[in-house]
Amino acid sequence: MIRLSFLNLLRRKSRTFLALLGIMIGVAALISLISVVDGLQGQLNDVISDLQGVWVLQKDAQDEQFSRIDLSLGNKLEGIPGVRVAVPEIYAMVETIDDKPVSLTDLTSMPLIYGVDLTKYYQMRGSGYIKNIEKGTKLNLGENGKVLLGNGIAEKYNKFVGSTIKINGEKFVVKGIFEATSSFLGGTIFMSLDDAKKASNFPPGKVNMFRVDLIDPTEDKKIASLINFKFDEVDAKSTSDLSEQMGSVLGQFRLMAVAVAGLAALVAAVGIVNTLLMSVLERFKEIGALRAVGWTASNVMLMVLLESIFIGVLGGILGIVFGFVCASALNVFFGLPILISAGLLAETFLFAVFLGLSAGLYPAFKASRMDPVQALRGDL
Amino acid sequence: MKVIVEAKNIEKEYLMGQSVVHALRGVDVTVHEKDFIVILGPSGSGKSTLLHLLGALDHPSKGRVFFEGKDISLLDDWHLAMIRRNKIGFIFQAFNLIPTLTALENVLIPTIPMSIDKDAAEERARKLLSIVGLESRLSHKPKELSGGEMQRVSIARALINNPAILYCDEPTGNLDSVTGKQIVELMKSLNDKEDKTFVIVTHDPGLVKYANKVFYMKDGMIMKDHTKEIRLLQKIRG
Repeated sequence: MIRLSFLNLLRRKSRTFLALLGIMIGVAALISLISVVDGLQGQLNDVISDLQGVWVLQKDAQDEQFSRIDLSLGNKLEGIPGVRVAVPEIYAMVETIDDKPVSLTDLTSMPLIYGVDLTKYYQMRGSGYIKNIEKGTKLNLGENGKVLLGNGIAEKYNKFVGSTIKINGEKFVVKGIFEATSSFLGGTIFMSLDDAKKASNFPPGKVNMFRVDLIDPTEDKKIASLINFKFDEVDAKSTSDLSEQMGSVLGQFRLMAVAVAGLAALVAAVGIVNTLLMSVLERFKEIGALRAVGWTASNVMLMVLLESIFIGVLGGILGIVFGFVCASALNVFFGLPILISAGLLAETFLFAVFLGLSAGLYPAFKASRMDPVQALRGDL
Repeated sequence: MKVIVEAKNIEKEYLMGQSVVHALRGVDVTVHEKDFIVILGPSGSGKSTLLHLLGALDHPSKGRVFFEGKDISLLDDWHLAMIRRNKIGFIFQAFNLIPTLTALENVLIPTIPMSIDKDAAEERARKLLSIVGLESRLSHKPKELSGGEMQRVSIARALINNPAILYCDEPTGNLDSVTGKQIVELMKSLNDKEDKTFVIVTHDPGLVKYANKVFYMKDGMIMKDHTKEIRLLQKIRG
């Protein structure tokens, strides 16, 4: 019966192909959208897990780049019990590289100055945004005029260890090239706080924020509240809170992706119902003959359901392949991180089979209810 | 001789639009083992309806149908299907073969839902195709076969379950006269050599000479049982 059902689908190849296309697009949409959301979530988790503690920014600042905070606050923060070290950080936009205006189109090499007080930075647990140094070595304490480049920007501007790079008119030597904790941070230019100030004309005595490393990272919520209570001018956020906030945003995005893909799948299901219904109505005499030679109504139903399951299985497989291609394209051309887990593949495949099966229920029921006498007479 | 199927005073009415059609108006038929029955009559005389009722495809509106002594008039859809599957073979005017399957696979169609040894079924299908003269056409699809060959495939399909009776609805209707004659002679030889029982409804009076019983139907009734005349004719011809 499996062979018969499969061959039935091959009778009207273009019609079957259109039904397959519907499921394929639904599954591919599901895979590519969710893989991006999962990719973002994965990177976020990587970044956050590497930056446990508390972020201290100017009160009501939109983000760290708009925040201005007194450098002298660092000592006060370090006076709070439970704080290991407070690292002052500067984040600044890059306007020109080698005297040419930078393009902001590529997400993986969008340049950003990341300046830190190296003494404090090396006391901090975790490695900031640096996952590992691929080439060259880290910056030494008090070493100015040298930078580490994220691999995205190094590749884009063709820089190697030892190359010089002019950032906003200031000349630097590349001491190392690193892989960042997120592909979005591939444009990071790591340098000392003093160099960052010079390259970004930062107001004296100010920094963007403090990254506060704690003796016990699980106390981040408690210490963030304490900092907020003690200092009116700042806004302290625990990384747990940040993670939860971002997670909830991504969760909503994931739901939206599922809804969009679900809609595509619904359209696909209607396509399958139509395909199978047409095919069943065209074959009424044949179905009458099957009933005459002893097939029961449920045998006929199973035959049509197998056809719909085939559409689901084939559509699912093609959709997974196409989804893989789409997700990879999003990764390659737009730099979006993707994560295609085995779980996602299994879920979408089962979804496609379920979709095929449920779309086949009505045509199968209709076929099984055909009166064999009427079918043989051609009265249907 | 053992009675295979017996219809007692059966009537069949059905609705066509607003009006009630009396397709059968009290028909009595008895089919014995090894019978070769031909039912003649014009279109709309109720021949096919009678075949469907005798063939466990439909229920009579009134009267009773007995199959091997059991009343099947009120059986549900599933039990009727089981009788057709195990006891009955059908041969149609339009052959009703599955175009995507080979001759061999078409013969095996009735066995698909059965829980039987697939190799043994295939062996039997090959043997049946050989009996109907198609041993060299096993892997041909219907569109690669002539009308006569397609009807031979459908005869083999009807025989695959070793049925107690074969019902044929206009088996020569789609064939030219020479091919039609060959098909009827094949059925007759199955009747003679393999003791198969046939009930054939047809427009073609040429089939009468092969029959041991002949009925003529008109307006939903059996007008005349021509069996005695046929016997006499056969006796005179020697």
